Amino acid sequence: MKAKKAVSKIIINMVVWMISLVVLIPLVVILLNAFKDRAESNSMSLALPTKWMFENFAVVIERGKLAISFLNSLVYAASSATLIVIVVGAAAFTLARNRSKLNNIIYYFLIAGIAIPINHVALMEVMKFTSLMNTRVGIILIYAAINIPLSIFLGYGFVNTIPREIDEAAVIDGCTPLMLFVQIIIPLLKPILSTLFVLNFMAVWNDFIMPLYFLNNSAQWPMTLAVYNFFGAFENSWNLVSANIVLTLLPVFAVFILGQKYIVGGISAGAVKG
Amino acid sequence: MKKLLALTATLVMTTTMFAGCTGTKSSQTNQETKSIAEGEKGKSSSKEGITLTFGSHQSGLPTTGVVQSLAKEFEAETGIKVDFQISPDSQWRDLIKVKLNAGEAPDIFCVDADPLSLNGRILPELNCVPVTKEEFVSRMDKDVLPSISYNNEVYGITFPGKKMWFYVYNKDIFKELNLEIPKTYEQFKAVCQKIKDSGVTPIYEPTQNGWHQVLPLFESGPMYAKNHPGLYEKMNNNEMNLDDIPELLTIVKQLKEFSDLGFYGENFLSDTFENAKAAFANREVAMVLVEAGWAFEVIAEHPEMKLEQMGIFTMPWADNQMVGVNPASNAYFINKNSKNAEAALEFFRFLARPENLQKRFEGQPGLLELCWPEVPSRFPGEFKAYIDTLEKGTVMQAAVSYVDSQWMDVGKDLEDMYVGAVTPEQLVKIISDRRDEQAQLHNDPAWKK
Amino acid sequence: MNTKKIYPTYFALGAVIIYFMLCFLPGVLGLFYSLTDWNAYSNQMNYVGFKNYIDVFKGSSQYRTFIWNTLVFTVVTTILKTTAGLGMALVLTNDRTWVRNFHRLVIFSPQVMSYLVVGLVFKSLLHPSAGFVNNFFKDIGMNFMTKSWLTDLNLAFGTVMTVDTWKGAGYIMVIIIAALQAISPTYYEAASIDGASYLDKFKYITLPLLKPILVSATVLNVTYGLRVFDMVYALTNGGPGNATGVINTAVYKEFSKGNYAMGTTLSSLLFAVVLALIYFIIKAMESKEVEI
Repeated sequence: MKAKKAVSKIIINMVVWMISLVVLIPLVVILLNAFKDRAESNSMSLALPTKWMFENFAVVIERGKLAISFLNSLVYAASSATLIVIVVGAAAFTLARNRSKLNNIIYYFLIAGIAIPINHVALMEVMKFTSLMNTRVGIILIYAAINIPLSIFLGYGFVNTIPREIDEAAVIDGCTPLMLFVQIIIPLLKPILSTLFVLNFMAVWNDFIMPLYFLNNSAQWPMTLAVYNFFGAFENSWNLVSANIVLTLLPVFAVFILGQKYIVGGISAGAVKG
Repeated sequence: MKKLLALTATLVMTTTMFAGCTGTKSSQTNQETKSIAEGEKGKSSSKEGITLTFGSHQSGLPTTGVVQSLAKEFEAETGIKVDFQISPDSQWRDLIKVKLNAGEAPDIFCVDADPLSLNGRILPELNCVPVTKEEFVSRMDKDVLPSISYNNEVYGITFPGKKMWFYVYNKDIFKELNLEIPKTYEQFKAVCQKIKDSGVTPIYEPTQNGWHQVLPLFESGPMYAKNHPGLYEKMNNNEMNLDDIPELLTIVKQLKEFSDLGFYGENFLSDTFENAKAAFANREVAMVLVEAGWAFEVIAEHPEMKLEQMGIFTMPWADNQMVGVNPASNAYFINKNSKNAEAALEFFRFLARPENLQKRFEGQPGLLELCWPEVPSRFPGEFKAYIDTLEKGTVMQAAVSYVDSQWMDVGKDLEDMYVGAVTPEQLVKIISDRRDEQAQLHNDPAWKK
Repeated sequence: MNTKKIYPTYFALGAVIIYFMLCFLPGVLGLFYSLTDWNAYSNQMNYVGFKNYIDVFKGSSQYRTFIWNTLVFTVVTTILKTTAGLGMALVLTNDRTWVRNFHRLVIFSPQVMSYLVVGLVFKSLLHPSAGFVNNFFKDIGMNFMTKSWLTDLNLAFGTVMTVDTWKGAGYIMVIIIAALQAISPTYYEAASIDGASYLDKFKYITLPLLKPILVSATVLNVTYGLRVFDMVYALTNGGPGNATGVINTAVYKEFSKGNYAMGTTLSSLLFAVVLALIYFIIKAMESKEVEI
């Protein structure tokens, strides 16, 4: 019996490692390529670089103007993700708790956005009308707007898992709605809110279409566009392109690792507490 | 932590409703203060502080960065900054259209310009500052002016010389196998067979980029026009279409035959044009269809290759012995709604100065000629002698409507043909029909009859 | 208790205003372009009624291929991602697996790469002669496995769906892991006392309790699948030829041809289908909720 268990343990772990390896290979290839010289990087392989070219990164940072665009990306991704977390948290809470006719209509109205196609021409008209065109605030609000529907959808389901008795007890203790939401509900929603933060952060970080249309000043461009400019000029230098990809991925990984505790660990804690 | 959360939440509760308006204002003031600060750095001239935005697609600017360095010199001289905004090729045509439509285009923008599609692409009368009276217009090659003009007004400035495509071949391989440059399709086929038998891929035909495989169809236009007098005019008047040209079908069939015979190699559907240089320099392939200046790009990247090892010949599809000339290229235009139109014009004048033309020419080794006759071309003697022997004519996409606009679609159709999804006959029918469709979209009067 | 007072509707205002101004309004305005002859070549726009919609249904057989491809893509990737995500979630919450957090991070990581990068990397890895995949098969002596992954008519679409699963399964896995951890261990303890096998526990405890999250995952996957564009565009651009085209690559093609009205018509049709699907799935989910 024990032996059987040990064998199954080994098999499971081997399978998991296999899967991880398959997933990892493309990433490792990029990472290795980032340290190779140009000729070597042309055939993408798992071979170690014969000479480790750390200067690739210096070239990329300097030629790709990565410093400023990195900050831009950070501002756009963090601000819009924060904004989403706040407005979606509040909306999902009230809509899921009070299922009045009006609220149901609002919910479906918001959810319909999951399917709405983005029309850049019409969006530009609205942006001009609200004088948000070519502003950082404008881009942040667009990202918030287009990601709200899916976030509401995920948040709404989560609010349902928190028992109502908690609210009732709080109100009897004299909580106003705002206090109830901020002091009691937000801590309970923390897992889903951090999930939403991380997912939206990554979505915004990886987008390059919106700034293309709605920012008319390359000083405001995010990292994805800087990367794109880079591909054009260095399409044959796979080592530099890879170094660029690595640098773009690092911050997102950091956010994921920081948020991971909440994404996969926190939800259960929230549920158990409830 | 809790306090912070409470604070942000309260703030948001009360302010999100006004986020739209308040947010904008604060950012605008930010920008204003920023530009004022930039302006104060140095006050040598009144132009100080102007930043020209220059929008382009990747292929609109030489990858050597020579235009950017000229812009730096321009800034040193006048204090006017140029901010380059390079967009992915695949996005640019739609993007500039949407931006022009909304009045949000950059001060200067670069688009592919040819006489037939210029108006459809950017509506110059509405969107561009005319430059007809500028001194530099008179110095440009007369042949390129139609590409940047509409209704007798010139709107843009352009630099690259006319384009001609040839097969560049590896002379060593030809010598070793005792081959002569082919003049007919049958000779071409025999040459390729011998090269293939020797273990080298005869032709590098990259289809991944989507445009390269289309060249033989329309660059052979002068030959079609010679065989069918008045062809281009008849096509524009909707009296003939692509499926009325038997030579076009012949070429399509021959392309298919070559792919079936394996003359493009096994994996040509995965190949990209950018890798042609390496493949050619490493003797993996013997011929590539390119502009003659490409030979210098090979040398720049693979110094072991020498010019003497490379020769050119015109494409012998359907026994063609002429060469197609395409005067159209990308060009820069000034946005009519720009507040900095005067500064942009100044930048054009700066670029057009003889010494700067020379700099630009030298900064782009793959270019053998500018469309500015004052700058002498640098075709190698042997190439020039060969080109001079050829009869020339205008390529079809520069003279016949609705050909260039479906270029990339034809690229996909050819891929379809190579993998066997459509036959050559079907392909010619598809592209003829698409021409009609495009004409209707344009409300072309010739298609209304 | 007065629910209206405890849960004031103005809490939803922030989301509603931002969403209405910058997503709903432009989106719906955009849909109206499908009733015009809007194109890139004239400055005038004329109302043409439902002409464009009629043209789509009368239109070329290519549209039918694209619709078929889109459906296949949606069904296949939804099934693949859900089963792969569920399987990995189960293994990675099982305490017999070592370094679970490391594996979770690794398997989730493709999700953070942009499609642009995924396209570039996989095109290079899958290149028939220089790519890593074929060289790997050659090195281990399995020459028959070297294929033209992205340009063979019979393989290309499968490859695209596989790469899409590679990228997306980790996301589904993470969601399911979260739900798995929310299941109170007391259920399993009670079942163990009753002598239930692993399979029994899975069938009678895990699966029913995961139902809501699996429905959410399906909504995500189906809406993604029907509207897929980036992945196809980045890997094959609909090629070879038009073999891997989907509805949204057709939309893109109409736009780049300058036929804006037709582009918006196609995307409006897609909008209607996706909207209806979401509605039905959510309705189905709500009736489940009542049962529990």
